[in-house]
Amino acid sequence: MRGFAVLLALLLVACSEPSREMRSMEVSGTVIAPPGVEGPVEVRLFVEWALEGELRHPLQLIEIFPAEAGKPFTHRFDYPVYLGEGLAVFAWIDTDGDGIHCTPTVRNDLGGLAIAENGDSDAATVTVNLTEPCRAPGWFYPPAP
Amino acid sequence: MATLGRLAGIIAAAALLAACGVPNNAEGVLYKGERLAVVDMHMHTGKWDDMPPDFHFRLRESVPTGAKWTMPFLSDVMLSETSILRQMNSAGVSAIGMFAVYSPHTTGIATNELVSDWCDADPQRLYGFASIRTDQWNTNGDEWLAKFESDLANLPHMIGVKLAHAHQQFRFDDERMYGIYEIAGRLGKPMYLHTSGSPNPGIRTEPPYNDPYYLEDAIRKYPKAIFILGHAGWDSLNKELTYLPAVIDLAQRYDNVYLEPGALGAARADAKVDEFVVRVKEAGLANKMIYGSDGAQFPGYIKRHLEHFVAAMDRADYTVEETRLVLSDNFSRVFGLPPFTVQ
Repeated sequence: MRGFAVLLALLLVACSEPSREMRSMEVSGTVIAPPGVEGPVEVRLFVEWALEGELRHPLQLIEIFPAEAGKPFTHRFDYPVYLGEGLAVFAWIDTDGDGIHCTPTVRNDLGGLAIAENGDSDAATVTVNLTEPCRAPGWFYPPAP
Repeated sequence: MATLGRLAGIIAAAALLAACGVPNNAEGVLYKGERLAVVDMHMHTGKWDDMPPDFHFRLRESVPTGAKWTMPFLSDVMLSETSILRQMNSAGVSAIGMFAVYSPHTTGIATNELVSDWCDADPQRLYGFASIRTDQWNTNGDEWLAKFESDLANLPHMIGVKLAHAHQQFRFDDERMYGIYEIAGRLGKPMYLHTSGSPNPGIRTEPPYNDPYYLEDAIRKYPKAIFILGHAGWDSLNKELTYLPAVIDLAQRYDNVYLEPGALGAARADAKVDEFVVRVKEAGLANKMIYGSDGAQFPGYIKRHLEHFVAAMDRADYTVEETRLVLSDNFSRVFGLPPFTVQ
C-alpha cells in the first residue's frame, strides 16, 4: 500500500507542469502615420515587463496582427499573465509593400511604440504615432532617462 | 516500475559522471584514411534556473509526460562543463567554444563569469566566448559596454564574442551596437553572430534580425573585427538555406567574414546538409568555414552532428586538406591558437 502511495505521488508530480495562466483581453486604438504616408500596418503586442530578478526584461512579444493607419482597431488576444505586466504596442507601416520593415537599401518604413492605458485590465487603449524609420521596438523602450 | 527504475538509473549515472574528472580522450575523426582533429566552436551551457518559463516548456517537450519532472536536473547535468567534456570525448572533439548568452526573451542567461569559471575545468579544451546584455540599452548600454570590454579583456579563457541578434531582439542594422564590434576588433576577439531562423520561443524571425546583408555596413566599417556568421544562413525553423546566398556572398567579398554551420549536422537539416556543403565548396569557402554544432542539446548530439556533417563533406568530395581546415585549422588561424593535433 505504501509503495502504491509513493508511486501515485510520483505520477502526480510527473504529470504536473507549472501552469501558464492566460487572460483574455482586448486592446483598442489607432496607429497614426504622418500625412501622405500610406501602406499596410503591422501591430505587435508586448508584455511591457516580463519575469523577475536577472531574467526581468522589457518587451516580450505576445502577438502580431494587421491594422490600417488612421483607422481605429480592436483586437482580442490572450495575455500571458504568467510572464509579467503591462502592455506595450509597437507598429510599423510598410510603405513599399514588400512585407519587410526596411531593407539594407530602402529605409522609409516608419515605426513607433506606445505603452497602453489600462494594460493590466481586460480592455486597454493605445495610440501609436509612427515617427522613426527602421527601428526595432527596443529602440523606443525603455527610453533613456 | 521498470521505467521508473531505468530513469533512476540514468539519473544516478548522470550524477556520478558529473562528479568525476574527465581525461582527454579526443581522437578526432578518420577522414579518407587520415585522422583529423576537431574543434566545435559552438557550444551552449547554462542552468535551468536562469532560463525563462517558455524555454522550460520547450525543453520538457523532449521527455515523456511521466519524466518531465526530471528535466531541471537533467538539463543542469547535461549542460555542465563535466558532461560537455564527456560528450566531447565520445565524439572525438579536442576543444570547443563555450558561449555566454544574455537572452532573457528566449533561452535565458549564461553569464560571462559562469562561462569563464567553467572553462577552468579544462582550459586547453574549453574556450570562452563573452556576450553582452542589450535589452535595456537606452538606460544601461554604456555600463554594459564597459563591462563587456572588461570581461573580454580580463576574464580568464575568453577568446571571442557571442552575439545573437534574433534572440536578443536587436536588428543587425542597429548602429547603437557598433561599439561592440569596435571593441571586438580592437581587442582582437572574433565575433560569432547567430544568423537565420530558429524554432526557439520568442526569437525574432524577420529579415532585419536574420539576414546577414543587414550587417554589411558594420562589416565594412570595422575591417579589423571578424564576423563569423553562425548557422551560415540555415533557417532551422523553416528547414531552408534561406540566407546562405547572403552568407556566401559576404564571405567571398570581405576578408573579415567567416561562416559556421551550426545545426546543419542535426536531424532537422538532413535534407539540406548535402546541398549546403556542395554550395560552400563550389564557392571556394572551405578556408572560411569554422565547424560548430550548436550543442549540447541532448546526450549524443555533439557526436551525431559531427558524424553527419563529416559524412556530407565526404559525399561532396572535400579533400583531406579542406576538411582539416573546416574541422580545426580555420579555428586555430582565426583565433590565433596553435594547430590542434591528435595521436
